[in-house]
Amino acid sequence: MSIRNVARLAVAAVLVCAFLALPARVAVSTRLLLAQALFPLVRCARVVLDAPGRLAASLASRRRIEEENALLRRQCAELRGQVSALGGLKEEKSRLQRLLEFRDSSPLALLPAEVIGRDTQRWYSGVVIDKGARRGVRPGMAVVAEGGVVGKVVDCAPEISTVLLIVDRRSRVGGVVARTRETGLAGGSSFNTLRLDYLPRRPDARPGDRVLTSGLGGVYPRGLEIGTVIGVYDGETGLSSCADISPSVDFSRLEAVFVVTGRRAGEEGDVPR
Amino acid sequence: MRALPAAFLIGLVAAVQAACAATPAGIRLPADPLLVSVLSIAALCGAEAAVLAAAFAGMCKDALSTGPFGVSAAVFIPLALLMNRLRLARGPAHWAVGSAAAFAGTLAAAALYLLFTALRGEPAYGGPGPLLAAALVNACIAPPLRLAWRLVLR
Repeated sequence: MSIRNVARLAVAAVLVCAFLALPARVAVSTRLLLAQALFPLVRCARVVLDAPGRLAASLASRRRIEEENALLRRQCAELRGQVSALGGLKEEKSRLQRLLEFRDSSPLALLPAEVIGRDTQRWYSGVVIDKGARRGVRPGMAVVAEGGVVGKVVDCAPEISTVLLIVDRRSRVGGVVARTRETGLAGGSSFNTLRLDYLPRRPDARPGDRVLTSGLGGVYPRGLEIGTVIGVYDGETGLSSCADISPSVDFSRLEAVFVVTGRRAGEEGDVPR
Repeated sequence: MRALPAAFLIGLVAAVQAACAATPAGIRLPADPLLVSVLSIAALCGAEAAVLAAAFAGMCKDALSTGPFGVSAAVFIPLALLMNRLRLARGPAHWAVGSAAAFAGTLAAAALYLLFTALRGEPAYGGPGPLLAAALVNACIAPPLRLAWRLVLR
């Protein structure tokens, strides 16, 4: 072995020993220095190596997004349906709550009933309710709603009853203008309006006045709301005046009503038949 | 030897090796391109260049790993010197000879690694299975890598 080769071996051995016995501080600083120098290369290599993965991930994520989108659309449609149903339930609850409060606050004994049918003939105004003679409903009983007077029972079957609405031309209700205490007789005049006849010749009543039941006639208890005056004019004979009344009950949306079966225990006043 | 481009390429190989292991997809190279590079360089150029390349490659490898710094260089230097002395892979059979050198070199590197870690009193990593796999893959990548180094060093 030549001297040159021995020298090479010696240098290599020294280098190996030096690397194995590198002081920690030197090792750390050299490592950091080299790592810093190699960092741009590593970053470039990462970019190149990540490219296929990113492309695959992008394609996969696009497919996933499309699936998620379809799923979310379905869920959205279902939720819209649920929200709509909940909205309806909320309104129903609110309506029933109001009816309950009305019944509880009324001095009258009220039997709740649902409107299950309407007159199919244009010239009559009546509804059919789901309570009849078996529940104590009798012809002539007043029927009211949250807003005011609805009409009176005219026919009774065991399970259902027919109610003549106060807007029917055959109806007559004793009424009183709440502010002036002028009395008259209200009845149906034209579609969905009432006319209060037999007011004094020069009445104080004016549009906007509330008209209540007077209690006269024995069918309707006193103090129930009939409607609001919308116009006052002289009667045909000139001996009295009339007033057109807009009913307080919206008959086109009538769903729940109460049959007045009497007065609640402890309450005084008129007792309807 | 063109020191600067060679050093750059060694650094690049080390960076790719490190980057492969760090990809989100987890491309774990069973091969050791740096070791094969060192063996190729040692077979293609003089002893001084082989030792310098081995030392630099070892340092690059350790700089980008969390293992002890210096062990790779200590492993690569004697291997490079040995390969330089044997002057393998010349002529038409260089592919097969290069592969055999890489296979044997990997096993030798593993032995040296175990020896040096034992000398430093540190725990050694790896097992026979991964070692054999690495030796086989190194044997596969050795011929093209050696060709690449030959083009660079020419």
